Amino acid sequence: MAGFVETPYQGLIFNLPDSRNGFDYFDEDIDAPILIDTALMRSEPVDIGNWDELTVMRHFISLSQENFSVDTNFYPLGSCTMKYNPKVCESLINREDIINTHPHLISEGLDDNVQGFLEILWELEQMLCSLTGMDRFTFQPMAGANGEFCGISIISAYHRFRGDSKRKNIIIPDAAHGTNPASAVLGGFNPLNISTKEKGYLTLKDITPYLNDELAGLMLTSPNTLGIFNPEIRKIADAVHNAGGLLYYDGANFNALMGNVSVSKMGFDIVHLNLHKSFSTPHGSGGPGAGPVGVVEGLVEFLPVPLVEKGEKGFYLRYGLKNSIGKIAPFLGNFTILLRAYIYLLLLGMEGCAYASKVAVMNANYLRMKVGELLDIPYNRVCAHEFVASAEAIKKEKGISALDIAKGLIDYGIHPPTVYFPLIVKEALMIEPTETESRFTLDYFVQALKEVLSKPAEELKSSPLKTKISRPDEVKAAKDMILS
Amino acid sequence: MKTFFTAHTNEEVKAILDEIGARSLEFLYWSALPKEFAVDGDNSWPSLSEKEAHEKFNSIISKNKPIDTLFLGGGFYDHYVPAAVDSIISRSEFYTAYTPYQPEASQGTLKAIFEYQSMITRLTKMDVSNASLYDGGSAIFEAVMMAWRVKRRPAVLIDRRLNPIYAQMLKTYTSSLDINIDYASRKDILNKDLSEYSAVIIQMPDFTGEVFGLKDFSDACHSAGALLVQVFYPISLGLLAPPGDMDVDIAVAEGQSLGLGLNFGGPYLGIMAVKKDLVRKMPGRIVGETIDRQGKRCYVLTLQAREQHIRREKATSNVCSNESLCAIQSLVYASLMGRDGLKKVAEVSHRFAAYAYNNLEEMGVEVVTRNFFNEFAFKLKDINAFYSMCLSEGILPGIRMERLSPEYKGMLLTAFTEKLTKGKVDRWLDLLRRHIRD
Repeated sequence: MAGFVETPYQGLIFNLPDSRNGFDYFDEDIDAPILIDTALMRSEPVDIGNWDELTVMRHFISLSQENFSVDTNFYPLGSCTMKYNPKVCESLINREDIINTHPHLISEGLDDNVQGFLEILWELEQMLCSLTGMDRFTFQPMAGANGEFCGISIISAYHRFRGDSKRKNIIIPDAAHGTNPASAVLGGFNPLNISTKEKGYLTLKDITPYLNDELAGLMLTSPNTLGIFNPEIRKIADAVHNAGGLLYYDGANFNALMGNVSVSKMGFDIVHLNLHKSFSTPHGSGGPGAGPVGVVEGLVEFLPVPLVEKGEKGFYLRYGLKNSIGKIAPFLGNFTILLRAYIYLLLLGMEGCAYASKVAVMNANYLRMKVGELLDIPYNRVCAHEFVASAEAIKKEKGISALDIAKGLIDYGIHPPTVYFPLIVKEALMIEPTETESRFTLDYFVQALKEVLSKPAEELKSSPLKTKISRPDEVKAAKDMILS
Repeated sequence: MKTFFTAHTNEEVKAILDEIGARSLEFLYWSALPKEFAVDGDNSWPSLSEKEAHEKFNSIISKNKPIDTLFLGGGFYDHYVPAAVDSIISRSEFYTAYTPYQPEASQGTLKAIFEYQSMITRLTKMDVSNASLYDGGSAIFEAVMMAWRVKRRPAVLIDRRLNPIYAQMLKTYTSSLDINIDYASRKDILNKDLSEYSAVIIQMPDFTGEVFGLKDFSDACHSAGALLVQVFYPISLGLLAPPGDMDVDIAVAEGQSLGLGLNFGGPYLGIMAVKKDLVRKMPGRIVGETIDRQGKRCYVLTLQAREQHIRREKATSNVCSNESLCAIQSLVYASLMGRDGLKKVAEVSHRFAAYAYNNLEEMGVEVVTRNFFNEFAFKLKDINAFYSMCLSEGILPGIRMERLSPEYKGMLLTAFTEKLTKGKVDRWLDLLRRHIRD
């Protein structure tokens, strides 16, 4: 990693001295008085420096060099699908006629001026429908959790429309992502947290006590965070439907299904897809993502508006959905993220989606086998796109925790797996290699893990040793609350 | 056969399968996943080469009919973005990184987000900023929820002149919750008993572009035990009094104007900054400063006990991600502009608006907005005729406000930024003169 020599540009930008600021960005082509009442004006300028462009560049490029990233490091981060982001998906969208297109063209009804954009959204929607078996998609949700909220709102609107006001419960297995119960609460529901510890997945027996007229629906991802496909899913789906509930599919783990397995055939009514996972749009250091939501035919009337339609004279936006939940985003969602996913899907085709997903499953099983020689794998069977190892035994034996392993891997230039999740496995390490990693990288990971596990616990407790900083004092951060 | 961005040769695939003990890729895959749910192959689409995808994408985009939209605002503004902004956020080390949960491997992102938080607090003069939310509309919703958590009164009162798009979003976001969203004029807000509300929400500048002081509102709120939420416009703060100087409790904004471009609707940036005593009730990620084991200064995600991945159903919000890259983008923009640049952008935008405004007054046009920053609403008898005339000249004169809410019947909302030239504004004014004359 560069950034190996300390320079004055690496500190906080506010500590850099003033220089000549980049004042050449635009002309002042107007001579008119300021008409704002002095009492309404700012009394002193914004308290930041004036810096020259080169200083700003050095500062931020120096910061970038203090990061791991997919383009520099392997990220076997479970449930995050850190696959390679093809560069053409970035370069094609970098056009002025995309960046400068004003979204109020939508509210102005000028669909004719954006036919190209609407055509892309329409095609992308067809692709997502083919992949999932859903009938329609909305592109408004701006992230996965936002998609969950959108889906939950549709469940709520559906029951409200039917006058079924008693339905307050949403079944959520304990291995679910934390956003599931949090989203259910925002939708006005009561999340029922169901233990799946016994089998490693939700069973019909687990949910039977809740199949009644208070059941609103069920949120599930399959394969789940253990990488296990739920063998009872169809029975569960039928039972939930018979009880009057709806089924929501959390698409966080969709990379395991992409192009091969249909979500609608499993019996789901609503699905969100994380485009920043399966469809390779960049994670951006934590966003922006996109979480389009698809529904089966009977729920289309509840989708947010507008929808993209293809008419005789071209593409247009349709607003007249009688029971629409309204608006999740101001316009059509995170548009340029959608464009990236579209380009990715053009490159893969349906066939490439299916192949990529299969290789992702193969890579996961290869690592499961290799990691299984070093650590326990509590629910050990042929996995889907990811699996969970446990450091419980080695912690008892040698005092090495999942956290120590994570930190030790950083010294090998590997981003740690997801740790301490799912909660049902003690000292969990959730590993998802994705399809884009070479065998060389997978073997390097296994070798690194082996070396980490052979180290004395005391040494690992102080790892990482090769990074610019050692383990931070997180308690102090929360106590001091220095936030700016 | 194509690789589809996988790395193994066919021989390697075979070797790996051998080691796993699987007959074939198909066999392995369908041992983990059930064939009974296999997709129907009938709606598939072909894989394209990079060259073909490139050509197809550009040819579809060329079906757009570009039009001059420099006079459009309505919450989303076309400010100039220096090339260096894109250069920095195009660094793979930022855009292909994950959320900085592993601080030793993410100091770059963490430092940048800490600086973003600092930039926002300096811009707003609020105490604390989070690491960002999805967009302005969802930030308003999060402010409503936050006020509800703090004050435990299940109602908020909102100034009618909130951007109608945000009113619609708020309606959707709160439709399943037991919370009342009431709307009133600003005059009525000051005359109302506010003690039943957890917060009053005021957009300033409002949807018509009106600029006004908030001190009366913060006083009224605080004496009734309610919070004041301001929805602000970041660029305006180069010139206008910041929320922190008007005793605002929660300041939220759409951050798009800070160097993000318009992007036909997203991705954008939800800004939220609050008074210090509210920080533990704030949604979203927050970065804090601490030290490592050697006593070296460093940065971590902090106060995570508020968040969904720890608290699950008891979390302050279901928000998981922030808009990190957009936050970094706005930080880079503000850094390039600097103290003087932020003021200049605001001033030039305002001066264009002031120039146009004076001309409208001379023409005797009824301008609805009294005090404005860079945007004002005005009335015309036949707004559609003027609109069509401009459209045939290839420019959009503004936003027809009644398309968003009937209460703005006959009004056009026109915005001005530093990207304009005097020539363009004069042309717009000429068209308006011609319309009035005819």
